[in-house]
This record gives sequence, C-alpha cells and structure tokens, in this order.
Amino acid sequence: MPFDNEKENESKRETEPEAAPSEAKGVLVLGGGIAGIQAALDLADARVKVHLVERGPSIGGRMSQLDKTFPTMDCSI
Amino acid sequence: MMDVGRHPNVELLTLSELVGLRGEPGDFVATVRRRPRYVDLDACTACTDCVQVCPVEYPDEYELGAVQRRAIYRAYAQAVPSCFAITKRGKAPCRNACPIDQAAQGYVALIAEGEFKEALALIRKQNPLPGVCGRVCHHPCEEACVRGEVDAAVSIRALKRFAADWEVANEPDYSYVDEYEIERKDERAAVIGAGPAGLTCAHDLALAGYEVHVFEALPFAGGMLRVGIPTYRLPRDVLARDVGFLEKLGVQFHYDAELGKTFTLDDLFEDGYRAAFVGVGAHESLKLGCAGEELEGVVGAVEFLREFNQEGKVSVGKKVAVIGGGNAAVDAARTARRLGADVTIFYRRTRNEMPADELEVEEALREGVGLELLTAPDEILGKGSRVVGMRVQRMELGEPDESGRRRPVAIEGDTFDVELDMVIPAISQAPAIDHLDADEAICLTKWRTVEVDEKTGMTGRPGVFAGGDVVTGPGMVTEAMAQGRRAARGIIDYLNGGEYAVPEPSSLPVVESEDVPKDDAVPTPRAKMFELPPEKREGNFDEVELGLTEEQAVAEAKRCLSCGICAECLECVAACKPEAIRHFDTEKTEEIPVGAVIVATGFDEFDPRVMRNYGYGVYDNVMTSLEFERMLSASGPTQGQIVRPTDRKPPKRIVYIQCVGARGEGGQHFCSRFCCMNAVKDAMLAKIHDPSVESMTILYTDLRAFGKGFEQFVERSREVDEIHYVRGRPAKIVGGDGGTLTVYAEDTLAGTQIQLEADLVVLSVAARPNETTRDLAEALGIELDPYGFIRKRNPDCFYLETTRDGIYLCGSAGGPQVIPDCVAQASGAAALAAKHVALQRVPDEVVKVEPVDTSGEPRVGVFICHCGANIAGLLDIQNLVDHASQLEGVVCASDELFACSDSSQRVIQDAILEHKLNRLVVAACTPRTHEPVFRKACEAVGLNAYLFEMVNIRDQCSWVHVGEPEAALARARDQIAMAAARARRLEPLHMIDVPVEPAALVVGGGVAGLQAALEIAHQGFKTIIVEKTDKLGGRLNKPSLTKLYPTGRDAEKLIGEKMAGLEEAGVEIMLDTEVTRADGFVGNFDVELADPSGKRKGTATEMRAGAIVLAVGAGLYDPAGEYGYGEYANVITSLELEQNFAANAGRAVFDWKHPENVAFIQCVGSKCEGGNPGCSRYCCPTTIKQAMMLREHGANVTVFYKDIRTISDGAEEMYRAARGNGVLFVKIAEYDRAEVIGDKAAAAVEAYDVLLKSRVRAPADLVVLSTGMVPREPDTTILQSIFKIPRGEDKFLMERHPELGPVETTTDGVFIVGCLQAPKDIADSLSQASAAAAKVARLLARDTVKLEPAIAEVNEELCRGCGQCAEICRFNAPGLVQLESGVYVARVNKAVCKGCGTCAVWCPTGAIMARHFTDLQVHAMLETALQREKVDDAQA
Repeated sequence: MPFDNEKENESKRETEPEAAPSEAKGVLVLGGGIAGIQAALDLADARVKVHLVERGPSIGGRMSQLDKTFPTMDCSI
Repeated sequence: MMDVGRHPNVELLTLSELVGLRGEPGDFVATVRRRPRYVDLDACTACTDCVQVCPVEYPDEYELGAVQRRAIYRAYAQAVPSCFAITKRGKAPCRNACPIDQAAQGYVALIAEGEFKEALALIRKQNPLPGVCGRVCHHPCEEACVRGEVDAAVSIRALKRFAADWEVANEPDYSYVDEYEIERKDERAAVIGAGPAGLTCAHDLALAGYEVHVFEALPFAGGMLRVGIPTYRLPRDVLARDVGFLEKLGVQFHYDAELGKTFTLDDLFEDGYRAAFVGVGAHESLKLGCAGEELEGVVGAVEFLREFNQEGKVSVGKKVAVIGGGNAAVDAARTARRLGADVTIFYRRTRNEMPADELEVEEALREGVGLELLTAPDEILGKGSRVVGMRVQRMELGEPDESGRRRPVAIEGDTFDVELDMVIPAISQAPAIDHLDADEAICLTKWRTVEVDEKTGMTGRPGVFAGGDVVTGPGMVTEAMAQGRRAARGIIDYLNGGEYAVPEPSSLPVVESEDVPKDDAVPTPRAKMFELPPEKREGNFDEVELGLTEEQAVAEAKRCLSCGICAECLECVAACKPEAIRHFDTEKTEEIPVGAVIVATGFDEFDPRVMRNYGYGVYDNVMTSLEFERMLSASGPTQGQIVRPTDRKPPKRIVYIQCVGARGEGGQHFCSRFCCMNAVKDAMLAKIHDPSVESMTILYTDLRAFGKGFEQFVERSREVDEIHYVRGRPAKIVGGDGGTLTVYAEDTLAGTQIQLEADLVVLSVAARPNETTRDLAEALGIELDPYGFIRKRNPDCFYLETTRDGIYLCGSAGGPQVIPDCVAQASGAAALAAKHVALQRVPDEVVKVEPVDTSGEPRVGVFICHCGANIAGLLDIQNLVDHASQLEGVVCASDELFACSDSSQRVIQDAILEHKLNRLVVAACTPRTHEPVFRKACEAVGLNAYLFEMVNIRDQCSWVHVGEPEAALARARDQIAMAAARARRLEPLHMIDVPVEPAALVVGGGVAGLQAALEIAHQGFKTIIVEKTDKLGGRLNKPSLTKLYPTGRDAEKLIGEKMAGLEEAGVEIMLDTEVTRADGFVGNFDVELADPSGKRKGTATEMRAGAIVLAVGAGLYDPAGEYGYGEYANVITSLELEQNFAANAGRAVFDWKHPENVAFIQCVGSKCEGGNPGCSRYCCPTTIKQAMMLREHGANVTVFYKDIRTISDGAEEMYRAARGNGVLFVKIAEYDRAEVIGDKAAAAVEAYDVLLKSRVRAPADLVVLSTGMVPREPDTTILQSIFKIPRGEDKFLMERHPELGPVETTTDGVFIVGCLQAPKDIADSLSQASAAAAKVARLLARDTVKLEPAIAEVNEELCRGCGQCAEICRFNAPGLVQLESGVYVARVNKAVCKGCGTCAVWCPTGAIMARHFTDLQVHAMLETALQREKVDDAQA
C-alpha cells in the first residue's frame, strides 16, 4: 500500500531554491473582493508571498454585502 | 475571507491604492499609496467602545446609506481586518479659520449629541477663555462655515458660549481638571500681562507642567478684555470664571506688578525664572493728527473705556462724537450712550469697510447711536480750552490701499460743522513699551511693536518671548491668543520641555466646500439668542445677549454638515482602553517589489437615477437590487425584515425589474450576467422571509440562467415559490397615493399593455466599471475596453490576460461575472501570476504553541452565536447561555454577536486560556462552512482541533422553526446539551502527514487539458498529459471548429500556440493513452495508463502523480430522430455546419450550392429531459457567429430560440449586429418546439412566434440544429468510477462547491475542468483549466500533505477477517491482510478512508471504530437527548 512506503518519495524531490521570506518576490493582488481573496489564497497556499491591496478599510467586497448566494443559498461571509 | 486575513503569506494592505508600476514581468516595482486608518491595526481589539462615544454620524456605505454609522467604524461585524477605522474628509473649514486651531466641529458635534460636558472639556483643552471667546470672538469660523452656503452659518460662537454657560451651572469647580494628567516640571516661567495672549501662554505652559506666574500691571486680570470691552458684552463674572480656570490649573497671579516700574526682566531671571513672555498689549490710543486734539473733552477710546471699566465711572459729554469704525469705537459709543449721551460715530469709509463686528454695529444703531459714514475730522473746534464742535470733512472712496480696502479721499471743499462737547478718537492703539525699548537686546519695529521670531515668538533676548498686540498692534482676541500659544510652544522648545500638551494642529488638507454633500440639509433658521430689549439697556451695563437654551443649542449644533466627517473631538482617544487611536497618522507611499500583478478590482453599480422614467431617487419605494439584498440580510439595516421605506410596513406586491442599465438601457450595451439569477434568488428569499408577500413579479427580457444548475433554480422559483415572470420592460413607473407605485409595461408575450400595482419596486441594476478603473489602468499601463472595463488581450479565448505582460485579470474588473466564474478566474489568474515567482516560494511558517493540557477532567466552554438576528431574532440567547452554563463539565458559557468575527475569535481564544478550557462547543451556523474557522482558532492557542464541537442552531433551529420560537428554543437547548455531552468525550486527533509525489497528470488533450498542463508546467512541476486519440487539440482541431467568436480568429492557431508552449515547458505528452485504473490518494495516485487502440507498442504503464486534472470535455447531444435529423439530408447540427465551413473556406456549401435560406433551431438537447437539463451556454453565440458568416454571403437566416443567452465576451454586441444585419429571430415558448416541414428534404421550419402572436414559417434549404452538450460517454462514467466523483442531476461530474469550489472535487487531489464539469465556451474552459493549475500548485508546492485523522480504525484483536467492511466501502479503504500467524484481519488505508463510518456500523464484531464518532461519544449524545424526554414524561 502506498501509504506504508513513505520514505520512498524523499529522494525524488528536487531541491528547489527557497528564498528567505523577506527577499522573496511575491504577487500583488489588487482588490479584496471574492476574486482577489480567492487569488490571494491560492497563491499563499502555494507558498507564494501575496500583497493584497484593498481600497477600503476591510476586504470582502460586494459579496460580503450579499445575504446569500445562488444556487446554494449559502451565507456569503 | 478570514483565512486570507490570517494567512502568514498574505500581507493585507487596506486603505491602499496602486499609483504606479515599473519594471517588467518577474521584476516589477509597485508604488502603493496607503491612506491612514487612524487606528492601530495591532492594538485595536474591536471592542466598539469608541463607537459609543463618537458624536459624528455618517451614511453607512455598507448599508448603502440606509442607516447612519459613526465616523469611527467597521464596515460590518465580521469585517477583516476587524480593526476600526476613522473617516476623515480633511480639516473642517471652521477649524482651519480659527487662529487657535479650535476643533469647532468637534464640540459642535458633541453638543448635538447632548454631550455637554465632553464638549466643554474639548473646548477647554484648546482654549482657556471659552466664556470670553463665546461672546467677543470675531468668529472667522462662522465666515468659513459651509452651512452658510445652504442657509446660514452655524452659530459656532454661540455654541461655545453655551458650553461655557453650562459650565457655570454644572461644573462650577472645574472638577474635570482633576482628570488632567499633568507631569510637573521644576522650571518656572513668567508671563507679563494677563490679557488674552498672556493667559493663553500661561494656560499652555501650565498644562505642560511648568510653574507659571502671571504679572499684571492692573489690579485684575483680563487686560483689554477687562478694561476695553464693556460689561454688557462681556460680564465681569464670565471673565473671572475663565481666569479661575487658570488658577485651578495652578497658575499664580501677581497684580499691580508693572514691567519697567515695579520689576524688570532682569529681576525675573535673577529670581530663577527660566523664560518670560511679554504680552502687555497696546493700551494707548493713537492721535487723530488734526488740530484741536489737545482740547479738553478729547479722550481716547481706550482711555475712556479703561477709566470707566476700572473706576466704574467716567465723565461724559452730552453730545459725543466717536471717531473710527472698529470694535473700540462701537464699544466707546455704546458705553457713552448708556451713560446718557447723544452719540454719533464718524467713520471715513462706508459701512462695508467697518472692521467692527456687524452685529455690534447693528445693536449700536438699535440703541440710538448715530452713524456718519464717509466723514473724517478736519479740525476739532474749541472755545477756550473746551471742545465745542468739530469740522467734518466729507470723503469718497478712491483706489484700494495695501489692505485691499478702498482708500478714502477727501472731497475738496466739502466740509460741515457739528456741535459737540466731547470727542472720542478710536482709530487705533499702540503698545506702551518705552521700558522694552531700553533693553538693548530687544528690537522694535518702525511701528513701535516688538520684533519676534516668526516661528517661536522669541525676541532678540534669549528666553524672552512676546506676543499679542505688543507684537502685532491692535488685533482680535483669538489672534492675540494664537500669539500666546506660539510663544508657549517656543518656550517649551527653549526649555527642552518635550511633549506639548495641547494637540498639534491638524495636518490634513482643508475640506473644499464642493466636497461636502449639502442635498440632505433642510434649510433651518440659525438659532437666535434671547436678548435684553433695547429700551431696557439704557442706563445699565447688563449683558445684552442671554445665551442659548439646551434645546436651541442641540438644534443649532445639528445644523452642522460635519465637513471633516471626523470632528477630531478626540473622545475615542479617551474611550480606547488599548490606546489604539492614532489621529495624527499621515498618508504614506510604499514601494513593493513583485513578480506579477493580478487586477481584481470588481465593478460598481449602475446609477439608476440616469433612467428617470424608473423613478429612482424620486419615489422612496423604488430601490436597487443591492439595497433590497441588504434588507433581506438578517444583519442588514432592517434585520432581515422586508419593509417599504415610506411607511416601514411589509410590502404585499413586489415588482422586480431586470436589465436596468444593461443591454441598451441607460447607455450601456453589455449584459451584466449576474442580475437574472440574483433577481430569482432575491425573489425566492423575499417569499421565504415574509409569507405576507402576496405577489412577486419579475419583469425580464431574456432569462439568462446559463450556469450550472441555474436553469433548475429558475424552475424551482416558478413552481415552488410561485414567482411570476413577465417578459417586458417597463415604460415608466409612477407613484400614487400612500407610496403605491404603478409600473406601466408591455407584456411582450401576451402582447398587451399592463399596469402592475406595486408596494415596492426593485431595480436590478447592472454593473459598470469601477470608478477607479481608469486611474488604475493608467497606473498599470494597461488598456481599457470601450465600456471602460479592463481590456482582455484575447477576448475570444482567454479572459485572464490584460494588454501588459505580467498583469492578469479576474472577476468583474474585466466585465461583469457570476460568482462561480469569478472564483475560477481568480484561481486561474493566481496560476498565471505564480509562474513569474515560482522559484521564490517561501518556506512554511512553523508556529509553535504550547498545547492545552487535556489530561484532566473535561473543562468545556460553550459559546452561543447570535449570527446577528439570524439566531437571536428567534431564540432567547440568554436562556441558552444560562442553560449551557448548568451542563455537566461546562466551566464557562457566553454569547457573541458574530462568533466567526475576528474579535469574537479572540474572545474565544482568551477564554480557552483563561478558563483552561480543554473542550469547546460553539452553537452557531453550519459546520460545513464554519467548522474550519473555529478549528483554526482552537489550534492557534494550542487546543487540538478535534476537541471542538459545533452545533448548528441556525439552520436546524431558528431558520426551520421560524414561526415556533419556543419549540426552536427547546430544540436548541437539547442540541447544545448533546454537544456538550459529546464534547466531554472528545479525544485529540492529529493530522496524518503523507509525502507528495511532485508530478501532475492531466487527462484529456483538448484545449482545457492543454491549458492546465501548460500552467502546471510553468510553475515548475513535472507534468504529463494523456490523450486517448492520436492528436492533441480536441474540438479545436479541424474540421471541428473554424473560427473563434467574436474575433473570427482561426481556432487551429490557438491550438498551435498551446502545443508550442507545451514543448517549451517540457510537458510529457502521451497520445493514444487512457487511464484504466487509479489507486492511492491525494499526493500519491498510482495510475495505470493503457493504449485503447493497441497502436502503441508495449503493455500498460504505471505512473505516480500527486495531483490529477480531468479534462475530457463533453459530448454533443445526438438529435437522431428529432427535427428530421437523420431523415432529411439537409438537417445538420451546428458542428456539422462548422465542419462544412472548414472544408469550404468559410462559405457553406450544401448539395453543390450555397444555401439561400437557413434556419437555426436553438436548445436542441438543452433545457430538456434526455439531454442537458440546463443551458449549454456555448450555443447561442455559436449560432449567431454562424448566422453572421452565412449572412455575409447573402443567405437568409432565421433563428428559432427560447432565450438568447449571449453571455460571452462580445457576444451581446454580436447579437445586436446580427439583428442589424437582417438575421431574423423567432422567439418560441419555453415548452414549445419548432417543427421541420419537408418531404424527402426539409423545406421550412415552422413555429408559433410568441412575440408576433402568430405561426411563422421560414423556408429553409438548410436546417441547423444547435445541439447542446451532454456528458461524454463512456469516458465520464469510467472516470467517475475510477476517481469516485459524484455526478450531479445533470449527469455532469460534480464540483466540490458550486460557487467556491468550481474545479475541486470531493476526491482530494483530483480536479475537473472544462465541459466535463458543465457546458461552457473556450474562454471559460481556459479559466477553469488555469484555476486547476493553481489548485495543483497548492498541493505540489509542499513535500507532504495533511490527511484527515477522523477515520476508521480496526481493533485487530476483535477482527475476524470476514471482509464485509471491504465489500461495503465505496472508497476501497479497508482491505484484508494476512498476518504472520496466518489469520486475516482488515486494515484501513488511512489516506483513502473518508471517515464515513459505514464499516463501523456494518462490522459484526464491533472491531471497527470511527474515530471522532466513537460509540462512547454518540451514546453520550443519545442519552442526553433521551434524558430530557424522560424528564418531560415524568413531568407530564
């Protein structure tokens, strides 16, 4: 079972150059609405530094003003 | 949203804007302007104490102005960051005009709120003489007041006086001074002269902690205030109170101490004073300079007033002339008048030029003082030594002098004589400073005033400062005070005293009048003080103006327009316990090096005021869709109640109007895409929220339910929620009695004019480009499209690239989008941007926290969430809290307004630490969306995530039992008790780390697959793409597609570009290959690849991949047997037509000739059973493109359609062009079908045209069926079973979440893109494909992946190896293994197990346990629930 062979993988991965967090160049995301947030999260979770620039005092954009979204009728927050 | 706020790799720059970008992809430098928040992000705990004290109201933007917020605010309770912010428009003009920088708007705002003590304290902080200034200040603030442009300036001076009067009555002992924190200093300072300059200097020095001594030549304080201003204007007790305030501050006064006579400056320094301020004023009247001035009966105004004010009496003539036009002249005149004289003021210019306060002149005239304008004394006439008259020279106005006033010029020969017995010259005053002249270091000017340093007020002699009239010559009270203040600052600097106690003047730019909204200001008269009537003034010196009443003051203060928004009253500073307020923060500009930029700036709403016939802004009961949405929200301005703005009553009839500002309306031609579904959703919600809504009508043009599941959503709204749809646009909306509205429209399906009566009309407003888009585009160096949205480089196939390399686009900034497309585009843009910085990934931050001790007795904390009004609106929260606190093991129970908000999370975390909680229960909304939020909060303080239990008392109690609060409460109590019982038995579990194979497999070589492979490879990951045919490109290969709409670009070229890219990126391509089997799990899939055709040599190969992207596309509906397809040769599908175009260089050839009459039938196999139940999305634009191509060569084209859904970029415009080009469109009813008429071959298409109301027959030598998309088989079925991905009602593979997870599936590590998920066009497929690349990168960017530990576990001692668990599991998690002893036992593959528990239930020996849902835990819940029933039974 693959799960039991955890050690196998280790040698395969090429070492990638990792910059220190302060020096690493990131991505500038303009706008803190649903699109900006999603882009920022995908980048950040892939270990890319993100600068999320929002004009207002808080993020959330238009979607945060919606009561629910279709078609799931989930709470938008 | 919460995640992004807390992510270690995300730097959140709020209140910021990009202003410039230089460099190139991979190496940009962005210039970002950061506006101040005025609240420290790290210090603010979002406790709302500041909001309670803020006196300024401002329309709440988040609620679209439906309610007011305060100047210090947070957009909404769950805002990220949760830190408050202060809105400032700039420095209020009143404050700017004030010589002493008094924050006038601040105390006005406080008075408006009835906060009189706070208003007084604020005034006192900056102004030692409010009683004085409230009466005699020349109030430049009122001249600057913007309210003056509406009706009349706010009576700021009177309000200040009100505060001072209030102090007399309520704070006689200045008790608030006891709260001042003054740091005492050892140094002593001397202030010479107790006039306004000296008193202000003394005040500021005393506040800074110095020992201050005031030396005054007269026997009392006040200077000119005391001896120059008559008591009917400034009563003595008022002045005494202001002086008393200084005494309370510790200032010591020494009277009858005259500089140069009783002491010298040298004496002071010898006595140990470290600095001295000279503010001795200007107390000598200037001479007139005409003959007769030496006569008896000529007395200077200053001397006249001083004698009277000091001695209480003065000799006055019967007939008195006062010469001059300033306040001193008017004061002298009114004083003489009160003493019984007949008084006339002679002034050499006109009334306009008089420097005296206008009101004072008015009062003087009312009291009987005469006024001779344009006159000047030529000679004072005497008899013996006494005055008997005056020769007066008449004047006229000539050229302006250097002061800007027109210079008076004598009219030659025009004089007259008046009889008089007293002349009071009041033309100006000069300082008496002979003693200073003697001091060599101190320089005097040519006007015999003291010369001082512009900035510090220091004279030529170090340590000696001066200010007031002695420096400026005679001036206004506040001007003198400003001089005293300047010197105080100078002295503090001189003595190295450090911090200055009086707030610094605001550095903000002054607010421009045009920036202050005035439309809502209802003209209201300015408050007028009660006055002593003129007949009661003669013979006494009682105060004339009697002040404002409380009611008057509050009403007057409410007239303020709050120009600066924040009034800088600094109340928040006092209220903020963590000291987070930073009023003096300034704007900063920052440069950030970045590799790429993503533009996601969204859209603005169209302003429906433009369309006057809809009555928005005219009738209050006409609102926009977003305003309606806010009303539906439980946290909105009406707490979710639907009410009409006019009478706050629930509306019975609601009409919703579509396409407001879209598709040709209001000057915008594009379709906004999201409005149709938003309206349907709102209509359904309205019906659910309020059963009293009797009718809900949607007026529409086409219903564009184009997305996955949208069509079914509309269906539900029609059938279940009884939403009424009318096709038509209103001509106008007219208001009637009682707020009722009439909508005049044409029902285009019925062909009738209709009038809909409505209580409320909602306008579904379109999107328009964000107001900042133009500036942003300029800063970024990118282009805009003709509408002003951001231009896409390739609108025919790709939405994510702007016109500049390295700058990407997602969401509505490039044109309106629905949420699922926005989300896919955002992830796609992330993938594109990441490739520029792929080699600069940052290491994961390892945060070590002390784990919470879980060894002892369970200590449970319970938090009940209000969810705004969602829960608290129905359930008695306090009851739940009390109930929870009684439960076994619960050590703390509390409630939160929004438990998910940042601030509440902190409260919960603090509680965990404070109460040593080792179990946590939150009763709130659904764990589906919010469990991860709370789990993260637990982990951050060391509480294992699996010791958290969530109860859904919103969906399961308050929402479903809306009419039964008591039953809902009982249920919530039970659920909370059950949760607490379970929580006590929860055990910590730990995530399982498994390694990740850093390679990705893409299945399917169509355009979506190519794009996914390309973008994954671009990020530096090993990528393999497999395609079952022998060629990459899928449907974009000839002869499938020829041209891309709307550009008409060659489709094959696009494939060519992508393939070249693949090669360059090193993607391994395997043709003639299919996936036949896959084992394993996220990070470690073992995939078997086989060659279905047998063309390739060798047997099946195996590979291991960390992530898999499925992109096998969709099939097309087969219309065999319908519409004569298969029967008539001239009935073909749109794909066949496309192939025909390809084969004939873009011009269709059929039966050896070019077809002359072509009929298209839309929705063949779409919106129907047996085909795709939803909309196939691509077909409308495709048909229009093909129709245009045919029309170009002269064919007659008729399109039979149900709704035209041209939602792709440029498609709406193409549709308009097609109509303009003579393509005929026939609308048929939703459930109708067009009929193909023919014999041997199709000859015509016939259908009932619902618009023309008649049957239409279109001759056709070619009929084209626009076939919808259906899942591609058997591929979809095979992949479904290999990867265990569920299918939706529409039979397409199901994504994880329709809005937020459009490319993820329930199988971790497997993604679906393109038409496999749902029908879509090329551009949307490519967005999804790019999105999948971003998701793959999230996985492959790490060595390991964390797996869920809440899974099944086998107790091998109990297992008898029957294998039933392996049979029952649909994920193949358990399997039998043979132990060394030879017996078989079941083992669970931890990575595959979903923890569903089916095997645990099935296991005959009880050997399998589902972790986190153990028998113990579940039994505890059941017992708790049953126990309550027992109690109930017993009670019954």
